[in-house]
Amino acid sequence: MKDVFTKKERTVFLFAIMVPTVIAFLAIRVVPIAQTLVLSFFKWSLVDGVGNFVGVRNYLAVLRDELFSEALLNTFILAFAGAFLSVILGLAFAMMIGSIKRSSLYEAIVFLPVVLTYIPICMVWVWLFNWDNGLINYLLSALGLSRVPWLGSKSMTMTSIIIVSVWKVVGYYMIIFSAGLKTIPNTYYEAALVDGAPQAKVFFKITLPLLKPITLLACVMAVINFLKIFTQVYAMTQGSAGEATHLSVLVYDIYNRAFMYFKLGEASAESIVLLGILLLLTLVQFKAIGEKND
Amino acid sequence: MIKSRNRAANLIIHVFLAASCVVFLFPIVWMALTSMKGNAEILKSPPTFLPEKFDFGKYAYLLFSDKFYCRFFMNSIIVAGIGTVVSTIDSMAAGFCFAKIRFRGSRLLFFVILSTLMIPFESYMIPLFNISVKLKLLNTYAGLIFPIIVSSFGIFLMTQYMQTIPDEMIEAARIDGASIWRIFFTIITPLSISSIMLLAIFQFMTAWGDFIWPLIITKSQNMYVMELGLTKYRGQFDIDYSLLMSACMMAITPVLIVFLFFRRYIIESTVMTGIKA
Repeated sequence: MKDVFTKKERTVFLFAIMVPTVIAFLAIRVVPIAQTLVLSFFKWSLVDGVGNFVGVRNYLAVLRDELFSEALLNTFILAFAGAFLSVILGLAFAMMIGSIKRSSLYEAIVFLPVVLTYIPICMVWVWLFNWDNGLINYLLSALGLSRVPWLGSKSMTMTSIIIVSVWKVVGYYMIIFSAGLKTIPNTYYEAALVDGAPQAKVFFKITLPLLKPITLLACVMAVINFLKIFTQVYAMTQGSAGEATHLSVLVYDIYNRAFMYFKLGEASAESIVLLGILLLLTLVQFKAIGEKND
Repeated sequence: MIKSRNRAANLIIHVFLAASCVVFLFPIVWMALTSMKGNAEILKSPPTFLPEKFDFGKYAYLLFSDKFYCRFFMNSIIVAGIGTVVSTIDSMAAGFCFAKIRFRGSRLLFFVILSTLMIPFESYMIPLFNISVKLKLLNTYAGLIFPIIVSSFGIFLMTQYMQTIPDEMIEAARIDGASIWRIFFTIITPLSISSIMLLAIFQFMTAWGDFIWPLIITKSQNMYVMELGLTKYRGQFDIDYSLLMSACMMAITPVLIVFLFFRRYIIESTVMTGIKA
């Protein structure tokens, strides 16, 4: 636009707004991000402060650490299983809700967990999963099945966390897919109807190909969100019977390394590893968005 | 999509969706029911569905006798409230600067802000903690609010929106002699109000649900926000589930009420913020 404001006026406004914004932005984003990168190459402890330059030694220490490889593996399993289920179920719900009339109540209920926060819902699920008095185990035994130690072992804890997380986020992906489905012109379906194409064929030949970019976007988004998983794991394993069921994930491992073992340098190195993985996925996401806009 | 005309198929979908709704609602219903049961009743086998006697004792205890519960609530409101107000106003003003004022370096600055959008908080929280300690923000409200005062996403969103406001409106106001501040407050702000509301809802919900930062930056229980405080009712061994469920139930009630009234708005905000969350 043309410069409608006088120079003085503009300068005052910009100073009043942009200076505090930039200062805050430097303090809470740019400096910490830069420090994470730089200090990942230094010996840095919560107790003694920043020490010598150690090259890639922090990275080597992290990569060689069994706790890290375990956390990485757990995180990947959670991320791929969780993302897969969220996306598939999100699409299924969006399709079902799109195909019937008077569906807004269903939509609202499936979406409800999305607006709730993690701690309360994890707490109620912990109660439902309780070994002795939990409702789920009671129902299983009433049906003549055996009780399940939902939070009793690492693999079961992981399964339970996936159940809770997918339950919480599926409504979100449903909404994303609903928006996507609305962009598919009705004429395509009408043409298929005239041709008498079977439902399955319509889905695989029309709906799915046209939803491909949004599906890719949803998948990457879900994987990224699950890779950052922490709160659910903390809430559902905290106070459990110790080592045997303690489930480590990447962010939890970063947290432990920094605030339990005070190794800030190593924790920074691990943060950079996490960041690298996420940025790689973000690149894929951008390609997906680019494709969508083409 | 075409609405299906096949009656049988429709019925199956309705039944399936109704069953799913039970799965999605039940944990919340169970939370409410457990919160109103006495300690002896929740250990009964077979479990009762409705409470034998509706007991609101745990609610009363949390609200009137517990040292911290109300404090957790207040802390969350203070932190999420101030954080939302500050970051939303800043996003509006900065968005206006980027969209409607030409200044040197604006493109570069916008690009830098945008590029941090993809960097997750979890990856730089350690130096941020260190900076906060140096600024003596450990265990303070300022420390809790510190990381959310500026939002890259908010600035991005408001810039995008304000670019759609026609320049002619500003020029016309200019001819009438309005100052830049007046234009910002009386023209730009009312025109963007729906975007501002969506952003504010999103910021508030994100701040309210924040967990890892409060966990790191607070040391004493009187500074805990609700999300963090709730974990304290879980205890180590004997968990008082009806107390825990009462605490959780009261924590989610405001959200449930807001959702009941602003459902469309919240769902819309989700679609709009899709790229972020």
